[in-house]
Amino acid sequence: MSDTSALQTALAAEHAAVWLYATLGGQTSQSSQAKLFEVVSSGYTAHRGRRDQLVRWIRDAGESPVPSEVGYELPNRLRTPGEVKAAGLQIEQRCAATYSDLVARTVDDERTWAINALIDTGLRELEFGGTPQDLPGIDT
Amino acid sequence: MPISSRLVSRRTTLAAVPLLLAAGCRWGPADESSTTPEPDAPKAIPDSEQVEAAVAAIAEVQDFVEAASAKHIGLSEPLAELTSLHTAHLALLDPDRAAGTTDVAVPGTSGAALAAVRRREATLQSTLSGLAADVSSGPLARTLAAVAAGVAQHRQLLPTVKVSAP
Repeated sequence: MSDTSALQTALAAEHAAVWLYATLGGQTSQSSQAKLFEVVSSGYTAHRGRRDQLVRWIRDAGESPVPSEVGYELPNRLRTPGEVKAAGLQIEQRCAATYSDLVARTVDDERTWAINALIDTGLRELEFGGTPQDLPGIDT
Repeated sequence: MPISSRLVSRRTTLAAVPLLLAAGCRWGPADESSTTPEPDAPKAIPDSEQVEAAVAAIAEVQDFVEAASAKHIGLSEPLAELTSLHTAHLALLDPDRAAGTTDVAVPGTSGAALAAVRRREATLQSTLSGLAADVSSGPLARTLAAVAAGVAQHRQLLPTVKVSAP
């Protein structure tokens, strides 16, 4: 049986990621930074989907999902595309660490899902200029 | 496809499992299944078959990557990080593993060889993900999942080369 507290921790991380991604999207021009906008939009969609899945699992387990905070602290300033990329990278690195823990604390379908989420966050790190690691989620 | 001659012995793989479990505990929260097995009862160590399978799968791909690098000089640099990655993963999963060499058939063009590397890395990623899902130890699952994620990252950065006609 999976550890529900681990799912709650992952949900809290996804709440933050969704909020931060929305902020990144607001700082990224679709016309002049098309590639970066696409990466941010794709990340936002992915994280929102994972947030919703975690909410479903927690509710199915008979618990109340942790709510989102009103706001979150930005990892850094977002005045330039480089700063947006740096923030995106930091979000994905934090999520990779969260999903690495979730893998260890879940079983069956939830663990498989967490493994795929870890791999996905690792690949998104690269899109924000991250360098490949031997053990994503553990090295970070 | 021939099984790699560098496939480790069951004894060395079993010896590596407690080390991995200990490492997993160091990296994250405690897990009930991460207790160190008694040293005089190696057959009771959980997940040893999965670790053995992971090591064999990585070693087999490592053999191919090294053979591709040796046959196609132009690939040696693009594949260098991949070689280092597999070496690091093998050292983690089986520190006592003895090195060896295997005859591996590599396609005649660099493009085809690189495409074959991509395919094998994709299969390896899938294999490792499946093993991570299958093990009973949470910390070991985390390690294997991270190994799979590392393979995915490095595969993503492999150069795209047009495959030459046969």
